[in-house]
This record gives sequence, structure tokens and C-alpha cells, in this order.
Amino acid sequence: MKKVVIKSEHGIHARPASQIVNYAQKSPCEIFFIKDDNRYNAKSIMNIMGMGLKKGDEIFIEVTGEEKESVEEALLKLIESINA
Amino acid sequence: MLGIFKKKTVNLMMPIEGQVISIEAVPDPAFSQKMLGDGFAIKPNSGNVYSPVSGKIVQRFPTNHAIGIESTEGLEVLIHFGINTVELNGEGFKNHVEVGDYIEAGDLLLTVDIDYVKDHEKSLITPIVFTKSDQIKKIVVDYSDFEANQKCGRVDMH
Repeated sequence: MKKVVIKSEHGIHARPASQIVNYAQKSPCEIFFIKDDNRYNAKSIMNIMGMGLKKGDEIFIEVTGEEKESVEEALLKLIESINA
Repeated sequence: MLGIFKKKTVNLMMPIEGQVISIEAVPDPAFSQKMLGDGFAIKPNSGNVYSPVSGKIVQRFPTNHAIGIESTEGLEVLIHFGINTVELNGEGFKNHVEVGDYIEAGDLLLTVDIDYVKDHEKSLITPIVFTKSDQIKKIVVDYSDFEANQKCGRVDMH
């Protein structure tokens, strides 16, 4: 699991959620985001928007499957690149 | 056994008084390029937002500008009031439902101060998106003007 802190000013709203989910859906891995012991499917827009992530929130990324490390790295980069 | 072959159709009631327009006409590529899913959009004449379907509230963004519903048939529907309205940080948005609430088509979900939104130079155009693309067989909407809660279309599900 990798830890990541949300840096985008307005949190993970519709547009950033769509970027994350579109990446996750292309991956053969299972991808979950974990916050406060709750697991959210990163392939679901409703799940990711439903996390209501705000700037400063800390989440964990859980990836299972082939090439898990590269998927984790790509997701970390993607989430850190979201600024708006 | 026949049940599994039964066609599921979800009728859509107009969630906001206004004009139905194409999702492709939404001035935000995340929506117009269907990054969040296919659907349609509304040019609102009013800030009262009603549920287009019966079901359960599954998502409410902290700033109240976006609400997710799972219909009784299982269809996921996201209502996103306005464009870039996340930047208003919830000002001008009064929410009437919580995650987990069961709602009927026509129940009031949200009241938006549309003058406040316009004064902050945000578009009122409201995408209605079906976020689980594998559920969708066909979306049929009538691109016309409607009162709130009139039937404006339907979704055929797989």
C-alpha cells in the first residue's frame, strides 16, 4: 500500500475523479483507495467522488494484480499532478 | 428464468425546469468527452433540483454541487449542478438529502441560488451522467423544454 496526500485545491471532484477512474479502468489490476478504514473502488466514479476527498486528506492506495508497482507509481504521480 | 432476460427501462423525470441539451454541448471536456460517462445536460431556468429517478442517494460531494443516485433498477445517475461550481465551496447550494436516504422521483434534492452562481461567472449547465457505462444499452432523451418532473427520456439497461 502507498500513502498519498491530496494536494488539489478543490479536492477530488468530478474532473479529477474522472482522470483517476479512467486510468484505473484501463488497468487489469484491482485498485482500491482506503480512507478511515473504508475501501473505495477506484474504477467507480461514484465511489471516488463519494469519498469527498478534500485538500490535505490522506489516503492509501491498494493495488492487486500484475505489475502492481508500476500501477501504484502511476497513480501516485497522477494524484500528485492534480492541482485544480 | 425469463426474469433475467427482462428488459430494464428507467424512465427519466426532468430534474430541473429548463432545456435538455446534448452532453457534448457542455462547456467542460470532462463531461462533453464523456469522461464521467454518457448522459445529457440541462440549461436550468430554476435552482430547484428534483430526483429524476426513484432510488437511493449514494454520493454527495461535500460542496453539495454533485449528487449521486442509484435507481431502484440499479442505474447510477450523477447530477452535477453547473460547471466549475466546486470552486464555490458550497456557497449558494442547499442540500436536502444525505447518503443512504431513499428517495422517490420528484423529491427535492437540492436548492441552488442561481443568481449567486451566475454572479460568480459559473455556467449553470448541469450534466446528468450515467456513470456505469456497462449498464447502458440506450439513452433516449427529448431535446426540448420541460417543467420539472415531466418525463424527459429513458434509459434502457443491459
